[in-house]
Amino acid sequence: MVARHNAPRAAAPRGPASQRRAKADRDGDVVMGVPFKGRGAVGKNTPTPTGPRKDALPRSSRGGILSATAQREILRKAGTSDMTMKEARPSVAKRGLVELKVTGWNKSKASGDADGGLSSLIKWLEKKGSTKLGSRVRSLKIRKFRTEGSDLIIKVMHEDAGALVRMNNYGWAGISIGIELMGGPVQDSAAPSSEAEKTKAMLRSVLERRYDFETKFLNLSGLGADEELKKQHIFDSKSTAGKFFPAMMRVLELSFDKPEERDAAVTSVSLANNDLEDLAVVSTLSLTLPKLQNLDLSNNKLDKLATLDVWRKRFYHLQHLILTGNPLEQNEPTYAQEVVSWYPNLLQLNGIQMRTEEEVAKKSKGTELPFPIRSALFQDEGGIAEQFVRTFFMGFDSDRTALAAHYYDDNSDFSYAVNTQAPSDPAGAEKIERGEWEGYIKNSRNMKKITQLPARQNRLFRGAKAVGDAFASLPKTKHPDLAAEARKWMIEAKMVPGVPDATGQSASGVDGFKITISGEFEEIDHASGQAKKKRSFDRTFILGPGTGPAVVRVVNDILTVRAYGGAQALEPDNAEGWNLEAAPQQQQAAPVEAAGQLPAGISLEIAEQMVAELTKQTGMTMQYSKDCLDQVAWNFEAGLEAFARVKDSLPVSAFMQPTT
Amino acid sequence: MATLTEVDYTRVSTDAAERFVDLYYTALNGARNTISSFYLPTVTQENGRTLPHISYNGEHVSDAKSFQERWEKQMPYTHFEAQSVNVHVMNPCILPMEGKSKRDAERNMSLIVQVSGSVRLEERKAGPLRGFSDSFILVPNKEEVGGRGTGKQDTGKKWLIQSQTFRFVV
Repeated sequence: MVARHNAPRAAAPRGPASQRRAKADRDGDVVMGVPFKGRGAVGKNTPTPTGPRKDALPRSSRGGILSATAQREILRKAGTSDMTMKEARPSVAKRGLVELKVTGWNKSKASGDADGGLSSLIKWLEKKGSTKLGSRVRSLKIRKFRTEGSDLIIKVMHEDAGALVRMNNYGWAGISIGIELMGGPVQDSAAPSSEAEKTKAMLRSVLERRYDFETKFLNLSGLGADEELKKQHIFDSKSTAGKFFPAMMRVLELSFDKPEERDAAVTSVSLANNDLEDLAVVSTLSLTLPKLQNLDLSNNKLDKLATLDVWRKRFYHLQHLILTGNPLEQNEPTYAQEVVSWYPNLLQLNGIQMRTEEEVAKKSKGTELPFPIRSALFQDEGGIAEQFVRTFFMGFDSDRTALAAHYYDDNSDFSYAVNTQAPSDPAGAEKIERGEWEGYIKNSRNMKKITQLPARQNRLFRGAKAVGDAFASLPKTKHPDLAAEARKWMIEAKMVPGVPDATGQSASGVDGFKITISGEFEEIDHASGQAKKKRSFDRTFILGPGTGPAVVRVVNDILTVRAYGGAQALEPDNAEGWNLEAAPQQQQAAPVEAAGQLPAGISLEIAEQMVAELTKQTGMTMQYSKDCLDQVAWNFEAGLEAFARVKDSLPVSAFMQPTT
Repeated sequence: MATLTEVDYTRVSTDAAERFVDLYYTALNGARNTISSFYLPTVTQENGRTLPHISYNGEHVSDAKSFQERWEKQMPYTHFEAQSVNVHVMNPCILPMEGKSKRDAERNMSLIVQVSGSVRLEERKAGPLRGFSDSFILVPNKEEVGGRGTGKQDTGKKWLIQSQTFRFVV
């Protein structure tokens, strides 16, 4: 497929014809964010999976360079294979000088200079032709030059010719200049041999052109308006657009021998003016440049803080962030405070000093407690505890009676206590009102308040029926999504001995789990179905081996409800939990509980199995598999068919990433 | 064979939890040299895991001595206030109880205690106030579990921590 398209794009320098073509393509709105919204293809809101979109069809009739499919293939290869991206050098170093013709330069803005702009053009060619980005920095020198009529003939070392040819049609001093090799195509061993290599070379040239060596600044702003990218029809189809950025990041990685060199070479990146609605497409930046210090996201279409969530625990070293010109400024008046709390080393936001370096230094020393806040200690066995938690909270929010019948038996105990004095969210988001705890206080079993033995006895609920009734007496809830809003949860688990054996075989008890969870939920108003109140809770479960349909049974369930306390305290301290090094992103297991409504006859267990199987068969992420099944009403065959229809237009992020 | 009523279980468990919570947080605040005595002496189970299992802000501390040492040497001023306490019986009958007295039966169960409260750190009144969640599995302090016994005067701890999960939650 790739080879077929080799011929039309062979080494012949691009002439004015390609320039015209580029213009012709400027008709549509070439934007970066919109066409490849990460989940657009099989998103929840898409009613049914559609076939490849029209704009994803091969467009040989239009551009003629590459079909979208071939381009996609190339980008995929560029992004994943380890074809060498280091500028291939001729093995024979001395092959003399090569002549190149520079055309169209004499009508530039610099033509008024004494020498008609010649010296500044030479300087510019040398600067732009040099390799500055990468482990092998190379300065290009123009050895000799002369003018022939309106053309400029330059002589450079053979190995520099490739870089200059790639600058054909670059803009200089207000005009576009042509650069071509004299005397027909010289065998240029640096010239890319395959389409994949050409795509890489193209991406490489985009990076080089947008990199400033002195300030270590990589300017990736306004990519949708980049003439070179437009020429490649990168943004014409959703699939190539979605793969372009990860591929470019891969090319950037391959330009360096070591991650440290990369981190040192690029400390600032701008992604301004890219119409980004979220960070899905550009998220790989945080893996390629985890130690970035300055990041410009201004003038995009980021409308909520949640759109930045993928970079919450990224860029630990970030010192300056620019978010101006995004709708979130208006939508989230307190966003500045929030963002500053995310990045412990952030000094400036939108150019405004938020912290001094002293404050950062002091903060990084921490509060000096000998028990620093670490991420969750979750010691599961065979995914049992995890499965329970996923299923439990989905059930608690949707069907408590069924939940109680599923996990609780005659000897299961449940009770809850209200802590009316608990410290509340330091950010003060929720107000405590009169009658705040009305829905709970009747059966609260807080020993600090309930001192009489009969009352303590009455407020303990034993057996699935009593537990179910007690559940039903509590206000309706909605807990945050376990995967998408993981930071709002603290879930810890460990094996414990001495859990009563429901089968009665072991008198001294069996091993079970103790699961402790702190988190939050929204109280849903019964009549309106609207969320009316946020609260925090702590919940301890003791799980034993199940005797009924469920794998486990709840032996004990103790719930404490308290005023909303925010999620800040659950964040690990300092570097804990931060992704500091360049590493492949962990594949987050996509939970079924995020599913809306499962059709009748599809239990949670079946749904989870279906997601796992679809993931296995298609290679899609669990989230995509789940969304896909959602759309076909959980008909597995239909899911496979839907996948077959749309697989070519799915973004690379839809698929499981090999963890190398 | 002595059998306990449900009310007995509630009485024993709630009395034990209240007393334990009072003593334990008082020790964290001001008698840190006694902290390790609240925990089961370290034992290795058949499966290779050790008890007590202390999980503190996500860190697994496997022995009470070093836990106490950290409190003694590194922990700044703390004032814990348990604002909510709840307890269930986890296992009503740890060992076969044929022919034992009611008194023995009352000390043959394990308890699960959940505490929600606040802690003032570093200094009285002005220090930062945090919310915490603490949960315990308590077992009777008996020779069988490797304890030191409670003595005639009931001076020792009646219940020991076998498992604990602590977290700052606010």
